[in-house]
Amino acid sequence: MTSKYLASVLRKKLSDQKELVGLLPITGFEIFFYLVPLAFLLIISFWMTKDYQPVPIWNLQNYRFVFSDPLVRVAFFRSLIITLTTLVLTILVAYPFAYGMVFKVPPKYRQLILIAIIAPFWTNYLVRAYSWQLILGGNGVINHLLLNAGFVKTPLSILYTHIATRIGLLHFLVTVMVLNLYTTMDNIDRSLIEAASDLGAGPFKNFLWVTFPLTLHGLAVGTVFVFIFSFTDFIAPSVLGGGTKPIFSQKIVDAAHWTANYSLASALSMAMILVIGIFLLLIFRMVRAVMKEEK
Amino acid sequence: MKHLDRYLFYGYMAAVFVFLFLPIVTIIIFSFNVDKFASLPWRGFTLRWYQNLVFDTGILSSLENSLIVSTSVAVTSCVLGFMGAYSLSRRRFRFQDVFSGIMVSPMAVPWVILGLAMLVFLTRINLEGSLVSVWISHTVFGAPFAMLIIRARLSGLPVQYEEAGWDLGASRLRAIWHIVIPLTLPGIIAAFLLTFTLSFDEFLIAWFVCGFQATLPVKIWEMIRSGLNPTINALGSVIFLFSMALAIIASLLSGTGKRVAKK
Amino acid sequence: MRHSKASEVESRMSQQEHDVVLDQVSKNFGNIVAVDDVSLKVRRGSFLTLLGPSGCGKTTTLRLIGGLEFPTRGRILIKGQDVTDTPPYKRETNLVFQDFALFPHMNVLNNIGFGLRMRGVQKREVKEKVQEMLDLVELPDVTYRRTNQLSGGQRQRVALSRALILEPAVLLLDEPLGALDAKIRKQMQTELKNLQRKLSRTFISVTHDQEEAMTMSDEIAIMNNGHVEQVGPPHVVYERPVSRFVANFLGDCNLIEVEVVESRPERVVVREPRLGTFLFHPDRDWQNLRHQGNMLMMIRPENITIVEDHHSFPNKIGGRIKTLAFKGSITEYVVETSWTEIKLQVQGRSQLNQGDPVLIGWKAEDCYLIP
Repeated sequence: MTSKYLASVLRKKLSDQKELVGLLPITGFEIFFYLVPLAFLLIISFWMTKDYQPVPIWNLQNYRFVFSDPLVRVAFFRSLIITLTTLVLTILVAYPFAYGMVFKVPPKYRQLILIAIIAPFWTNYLVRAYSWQLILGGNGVINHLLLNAGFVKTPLSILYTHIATRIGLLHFLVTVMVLNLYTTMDNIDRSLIEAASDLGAGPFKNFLWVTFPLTLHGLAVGTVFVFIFSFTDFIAPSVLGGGTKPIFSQKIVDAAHWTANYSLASALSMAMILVIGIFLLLIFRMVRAVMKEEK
Repeated sequence: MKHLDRYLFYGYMAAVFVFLFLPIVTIIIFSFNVDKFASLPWRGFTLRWYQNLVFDTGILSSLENSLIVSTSVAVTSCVLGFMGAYSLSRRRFRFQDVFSGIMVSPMAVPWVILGLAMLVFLTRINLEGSLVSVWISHTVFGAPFAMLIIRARLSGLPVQYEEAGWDLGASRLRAIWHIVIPLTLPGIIAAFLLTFTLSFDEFLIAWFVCGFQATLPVKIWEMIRSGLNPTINALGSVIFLFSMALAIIASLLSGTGKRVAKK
Repeated sequence: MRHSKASEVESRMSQQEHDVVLDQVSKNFGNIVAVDDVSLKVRRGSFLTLLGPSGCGKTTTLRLIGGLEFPTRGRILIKGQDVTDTPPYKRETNLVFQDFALFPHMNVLNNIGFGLRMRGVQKREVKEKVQEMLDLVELPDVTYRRTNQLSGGQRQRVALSRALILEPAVLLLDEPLGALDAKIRKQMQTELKNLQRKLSRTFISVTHDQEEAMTMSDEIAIMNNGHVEQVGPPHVVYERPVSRFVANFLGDCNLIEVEVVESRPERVVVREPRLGTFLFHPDRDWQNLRHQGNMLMMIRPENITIVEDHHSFPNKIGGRIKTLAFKGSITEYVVETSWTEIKLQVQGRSQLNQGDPVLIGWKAEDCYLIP
């Protein structure tokens, strides 16, 4: 009798957990093909590479190289500068757009605008970067127009400089930032703005003291995405920026593809993750500080 | 005067739209240009570059590879994603948020690092250098992404429908097949289309792991690398229109716009 | 749960009479006790209603019978078979959900025919049976309509059909009339009752509406805080409630704390110091003979009247009319006495006014004592 009882108790417990069975395949897959490879990457950053294979000779050589090599340092700062300037540009371009979308456009058109913004977002990033070559190149649209109109005598070299890189990045990131800001802005309680207006705040002050602070959250999230993407992107700098002034992600690809020094490549990757981590921390601190100030 | 600010914003937004669609429009226009160099003035209209597409075996085989891989990725992602989404939406458990966070992280990790990690790891287990490697690598971020999309749809489905199914004699699995899946179908299709597009357009990770079996983006990269080639314009235009169409359909299906319009 | 010889014999015996047996069933959700040690027997072919306020556990109990929840403790038997661990798709019960839960992606035919298809019945036969069912519930023309095109009353009939077509041993109904307009509700009460009689199938319904329960049921089980307070036919639970809760839940009543002075099988005398002494004539089912000390005397307002002839009523109290309300067929009074307020109902219009002194009374058989 007791065994029957135990069996029914077990069956009940199992049937409670049965619903979670569906999580096993995806969890197993992600653990084996995502977490394990990343962990392995971390490990081999402490190894060496011989004959194009990582071998378990533990050392810190790779990291020493990463932190001391002058070329790496140059690439790092170049990436950082491009990232930060792109960040500022993106915010400047995206913010008014999102604001207009939420506060100025009649609601019935919003779905249309949203879809219109999302559509180019899903196109092939590589091809998009390439298309900018057609516009920014020596024979491209811009130069052609400028030459014909007589504004310049010789074609401007925008392509193959990091100005072009920034444009390429901006083109992708504007949508990301708009989407982030849009959600936050949409959730703002309009009565707060009306209350402020009622209390005597003109439109500019109202924006500065009421609307803007309420969007900081979305702005922070968007900033994080923009930073991570710009700092780590490989395609835009390669296609539009030319190869002469390498940036950090290109260093990783160089190490991996051209010299097959996987342990160095992974050390560089870890350094990249470190930078991102530091940035996230900074943003987190900043947001918290601003929130405290509000109180 | 009252509406001046409104029109200012409209104008600005229009300018941003021009910026966003400029490269897309440009490449489509230039794909018909007779001139080899993408330059003005316009010298003539031709379909030559599109014809090239059809006869270039390199492009065709990489297209075939891409279609095979992306479809497989979409299928795998949707299956894994649906199972995970179903469990998540039916059961609460501790650490659910942490779990969700980890699941979504492949989208946030820099893909250059992800590509490198996949390359190193897959080489180690001898799964590197083929379409299978690309399939696995893309599913790594495809499955959680599909799970996210499907879950949004599933949580809107009251559990009563399933319970009614059980009560009427359908076992758990049959109830899922006859009731849950049909009612979640728009979400599943949206997840399928979006995961397909993500995989189809993805260059970096595929480049790392595909070896000699190039997918279409890898082939495009090689073409860009080897110099200005107007066939790229034709190819790019086709891809653009294809991706945008898929994305728009998926958007409509997953109701992104609907929530907006309701306000 | 050990299975003793005695209960085995008992369950074999009850197989013949009871379609549903709950044996000390409890259900916990984490720390919350939803159903607390409930034992219930439902006779074959009867209409039982689980009645109680929100959160009393009645819906959970229904779902336990249907198999949508599994008990934390206890056994559930349907037609004599232990189904405690049986999943809902293998039980001989079917549930009509509160919001009907009609499958939105199927038309009426496929909704009603769903259970039959799950059993492997051929399409043509399914169609025939569905049509028969629809004729039975008087909805012959809606076969191919989508469920969102139907009115509330129609949807309810479709939900009923979907469950009944499978000929379950027990039909479960979760607040079956809750989603309907007041007008249709009364009509549906009688229709449901008639349907049950016609099919002579066991129905178990859940509601918080006491009038609905009284109209439709053969037996009512009143629940409070997860346990069953009383089970019995409507008139029994109304006239002879076992607790203050049951008395209050089923309608207005007056409750006065009294002390038992004299207690005999055919006559009980009680006393309230400020109001006087009262007589109670219990019927043969009176169980509380041994109970001494304090009890609650319950008198329903409709059993109290204004006394004209001193001798016809053994129980009398004097007081003043505090409020009166004319409700058409009856007048409701609230009379203030030296100790408490008493509510009473009198037929027709009153001749008295607010503030008038009045003598009210009731018969010895018309009151009841609750421990």
